Amino acid sequence: MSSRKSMKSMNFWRENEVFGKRAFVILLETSGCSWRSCYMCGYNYKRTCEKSDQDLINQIESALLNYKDEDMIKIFTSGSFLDDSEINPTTRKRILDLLPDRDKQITIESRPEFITEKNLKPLKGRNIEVAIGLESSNNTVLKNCVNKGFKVEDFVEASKKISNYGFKRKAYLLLKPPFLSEKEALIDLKNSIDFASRYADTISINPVNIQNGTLVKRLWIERKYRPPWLWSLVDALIYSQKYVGKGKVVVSMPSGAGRERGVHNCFSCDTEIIKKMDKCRIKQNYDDLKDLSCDCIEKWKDSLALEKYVFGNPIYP
Amino acid sequence: MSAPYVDPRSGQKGQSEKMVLGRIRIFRDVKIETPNVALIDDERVPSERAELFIRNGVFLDENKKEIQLDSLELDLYSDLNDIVGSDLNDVEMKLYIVKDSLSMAKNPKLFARKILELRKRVGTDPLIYCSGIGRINEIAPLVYCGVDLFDSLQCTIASRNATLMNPSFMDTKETSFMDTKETDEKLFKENFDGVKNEIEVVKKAIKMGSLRELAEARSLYDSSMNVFLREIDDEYSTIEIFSPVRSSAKLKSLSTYSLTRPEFKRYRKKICELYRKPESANVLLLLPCSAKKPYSFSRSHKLFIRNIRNRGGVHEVIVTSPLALVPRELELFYPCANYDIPVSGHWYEDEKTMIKNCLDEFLKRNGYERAIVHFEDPFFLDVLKSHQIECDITYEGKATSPESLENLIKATSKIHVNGKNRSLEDINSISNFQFGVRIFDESCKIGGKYPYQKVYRHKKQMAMLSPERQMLSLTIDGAVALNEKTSDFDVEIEDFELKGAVCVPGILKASEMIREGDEAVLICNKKIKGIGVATMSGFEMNRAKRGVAIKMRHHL
Repeated sequence: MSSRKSMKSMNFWRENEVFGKRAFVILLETSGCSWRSCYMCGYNYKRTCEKSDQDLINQIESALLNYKDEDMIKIFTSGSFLDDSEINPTTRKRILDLLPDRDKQITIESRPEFITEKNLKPLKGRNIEVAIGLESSNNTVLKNCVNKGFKVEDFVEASKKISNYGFKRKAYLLLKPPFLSEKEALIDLKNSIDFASRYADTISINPVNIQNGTLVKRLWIERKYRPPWLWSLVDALIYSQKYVGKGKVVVSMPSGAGRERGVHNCFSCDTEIIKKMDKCRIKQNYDDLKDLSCDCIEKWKDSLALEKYVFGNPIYP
Repeated sequence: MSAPYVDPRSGQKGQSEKMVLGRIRIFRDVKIETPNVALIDDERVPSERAELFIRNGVFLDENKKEIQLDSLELDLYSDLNDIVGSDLNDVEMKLYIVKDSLSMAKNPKLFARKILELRKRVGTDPLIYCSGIGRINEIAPLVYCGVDLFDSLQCTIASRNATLMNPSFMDTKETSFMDTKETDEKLFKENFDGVKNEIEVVKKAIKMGSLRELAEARSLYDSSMNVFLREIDDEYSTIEIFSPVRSSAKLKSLSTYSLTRPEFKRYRKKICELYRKPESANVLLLLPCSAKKPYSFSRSHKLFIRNIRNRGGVHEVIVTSPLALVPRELELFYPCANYDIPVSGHWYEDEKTMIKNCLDEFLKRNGYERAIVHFEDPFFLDVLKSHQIECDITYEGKATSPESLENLIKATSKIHVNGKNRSLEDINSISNFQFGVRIFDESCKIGGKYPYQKVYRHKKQMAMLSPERQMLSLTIDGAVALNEKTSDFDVEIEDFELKGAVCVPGILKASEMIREGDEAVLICNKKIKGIGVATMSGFEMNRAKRGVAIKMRHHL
């Protein structure tokens, strides 16, 4: 996995995918997400200036020089690949044509409002996976804790359109948006996993991390927010095993894990847990996580049970 | 219906004890006594005996029976203006729950300011509960600032961190080879017992009138409470309202924290801004303080007094910390007769600066022909010089050495003054210090044996000064004289028959200048009906819903 710093100079990296596959990830710097109002998202803060169509093509071409025939390609734009204001339809078509080997799976990301017949049609015939940031299956959470700007129903509709074209669907779920206690967040995530398993082939769990310029950062500074416990993520992954057993893919590749600003425990057990979680992800079996233990699990249980006494404010750092 | 108070000492229905902001209260109908700590009733928390429990935001009594309290939850950080912005006298709330105490406590400066602001806005009637707060060292400073209820969350946190909370030292790490769960439970029990014990200590301190001393002691080993206490002192205009103007308790001034204690600060402010010396005292005599109070009862001061000639023209002023300057006539006054400071002869730079500034202000308002310095280390000579006052230094070796005393006689012998009216001037200086006005005219006569002094006019007693009261107590005649000069001590009451005490509901409007312990002139239909002692500040009288406000001394 690559850190944010090195990404500045390099707009691609490789990562291990489930079942031992390799993925080539291209970070395409566009003008950025046109919604950019989510409480935890730092992209609103560093929206870049407009990019010319040729610039986008150049980015893809230079990244592809390093492509070593990985099993799949992911194109992340920090926004929506299908948003015309980020990438116009002609450029989109040109980018797809630049990608070698028409059968390889290509993962793109988009908000549901851009997933339309008009936008999907040109992709027809390719092996596409469309990832949507659903975050939560609860409209109240979406509105009040994430400020997502769409409803669960919009996701469902988009998801149906995607499968009509025979594309794969991926749903991103958020662990611990602001204004939820650890327990509320965990319950919400489990409900969302139950829900997403009906409308997505792959579920990706994203624990909130503290990004500059966000509401979450402000709450964190005021000590009213703490990134989720790693134990919560472990618990959710173990819970998701029942869907993994039924052929769904569940992954989590948290950024900033084990650090103050990311999903973390007591900082002494984090590294081991993160390593083990990654192994479980690749072989898609989370049962092994059940053996993990550390003294700090008591603190996590305290947080689950007692945070309601302090109105959801974090108890432990 | 509102809950009546029960005085914990007498068991009688009546006003609870209110000292500074901390108070002990017992509601008869709802069985809750504060200050107190609630044990969180959850399976994650070991079960212990407790007077008070909390479960899902509801307080339970010792038998886990629900306690009904009208409550309001608020965020100190964001809500204080929205929720508490309006006049809270219209909202009858018995309990305010501070939702974000836990995060606020990490910023003690802001926490102190906001808690104090909340207390000022809601008045002293309702309870304030800081959820998630209650380390042993936090309790006394927070009670001092007006918080009533705490909970056991900090005990859980401490035990998970293998920490044993310690009130008189730093918290200690406890390591043990026992099973973690067992250690945690044992530590929780010890920590919770510690907190319950601290609550008892705080109650005792409130009864003794020494909560401030306890708060200072507890903040010694807790840096965030240290900041908290300093910040409270910085909010002088608020905390001063709730600080009494008299108390029988000793005020210990053992650390530099005490320099900013509101009682001391108020005294210094009055000395600098209000005090005027007796007119015929033209020579300033600066003396060291004594351990025994009042000063003139100490051996050293008896010697000084015996060796001062022409006392009528000499203004004896005692230089001391943390009060800076105590003119002789104010030596019975609170807190001059109550404070206690280690007499080591060593001065901190802070104290020196404070005294010099005070002396400078003092001399701007009070002019002297000459000064006599009978003081070992006269670090303030440059201040006298800057006011062009000529100095005699009479100190030699030791303040009470024969040489020093001989010098004192010599220096005071040359004074020629007519000090015939000096005792009346002294009493008027006291009156000015206490009320801001001089209420006794030329026709007044002084009687009684020091320290007891009585003021008469046309054979009728107007006032009395006693070391017990620590200030002037007025008779009806005195009240009339005071009322002619100022309305700062007026309390307008409804028309009813005055007996032992006046309760809050009988009060129409009280002067906000009144502090707990002050004289209060009772006025009904623009006529003086009596005089008594305020048992709460005028600020509280105007806002409280119940309780005794004034204890009567004389009425018509």
